[in-house]
Amino acid sequence: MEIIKLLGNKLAEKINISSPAGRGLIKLAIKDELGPFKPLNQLEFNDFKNTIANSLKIRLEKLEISSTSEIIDLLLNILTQNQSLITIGVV
Amino acid sequence: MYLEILFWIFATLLLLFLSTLFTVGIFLLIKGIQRKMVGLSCLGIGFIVIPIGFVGNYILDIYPGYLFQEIFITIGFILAVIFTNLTFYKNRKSPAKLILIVVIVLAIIQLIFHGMMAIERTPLIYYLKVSFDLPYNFLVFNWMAWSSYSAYKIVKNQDIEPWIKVRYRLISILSFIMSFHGIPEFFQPYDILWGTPSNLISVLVFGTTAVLAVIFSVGFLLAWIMPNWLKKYLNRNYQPVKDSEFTEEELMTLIRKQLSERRNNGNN
Repeated sequence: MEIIKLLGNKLAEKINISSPAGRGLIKLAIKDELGPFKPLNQLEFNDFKNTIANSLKIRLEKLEISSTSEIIDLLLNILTQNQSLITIGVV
Repeated sequence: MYLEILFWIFATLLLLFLSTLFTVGIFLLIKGIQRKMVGLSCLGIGFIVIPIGFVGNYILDIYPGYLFQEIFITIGFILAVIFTNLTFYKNRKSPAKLILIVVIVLAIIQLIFHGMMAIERTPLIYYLKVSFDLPYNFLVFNWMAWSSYSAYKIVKNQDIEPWIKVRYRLISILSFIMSFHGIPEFFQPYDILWGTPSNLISVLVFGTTAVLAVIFSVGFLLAWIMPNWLKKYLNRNYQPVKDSEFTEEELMTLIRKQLSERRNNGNN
């Protein structure tokens, strides 16, 4: 999914890990937030928003990433700006 | 004779528009339901009800004039604006709600004028109707066009599959073209029904609208139901991302390792 790729790549850039690891971290946070059975192509804007604000934040804090709040705000902003990808980039 | 041939050519185009729009509508509705996307389902329903309105009006001859058809077009247009708002403007500062309200008001005005014209067609009512129809069409389709173009400007330099960027461009260009379909109505004789085959101007107005509508619907068909060969062609210079499958433990170990390496490098 393009929106996961976009968020994961930006996350990777901000915390200095590889892009696949960044995308993987986003997917893990989605699993934490919504459970393992929700298909990625059925995620809505609010699912992503809650995932970033809650589960991803917890994951980043556990990894002892500094400036977690800044990163979360940045990702929420990227999500809002690129929200149409959830629809236009999936169907 | 020639006028009648011209009329049937345009009528065929109109049928092509209606069938294409209906097909895209069914596709979007199915995808919207499958993926629980309210906005997409709205657009799907909107595209389905417009042909139903035309068919009801032309074939079944349910009501004199175009009031019946206009009711369905109104529903379709409002649902198109809801799609635009839900797809592009969640949690964003924008005039999305205001535009929806203005479109609903303009739609009600259109219905009132169509109701009045079903009773009596006067020049005043007709030209008032088309004068309000123009901003109505402009708003519905240019709002979609502008939203898609703005989103395209954001994604165009990002690592996104090229066929998706093409979809954004198609939606914005086609919606922009469709926003002008109210202009030919100004040239329509006020006392003659749209598409009457015995009047040259009426046939030309009908034809211009039909051509614009076909460009829009066929383009939307291509944008939303893009064939795989075209996607592959558009992606020909693009290397898609394929992530390896990791267990949670493997992935977290990898991330910790990378973070630790970066921190050590940073300290050194």
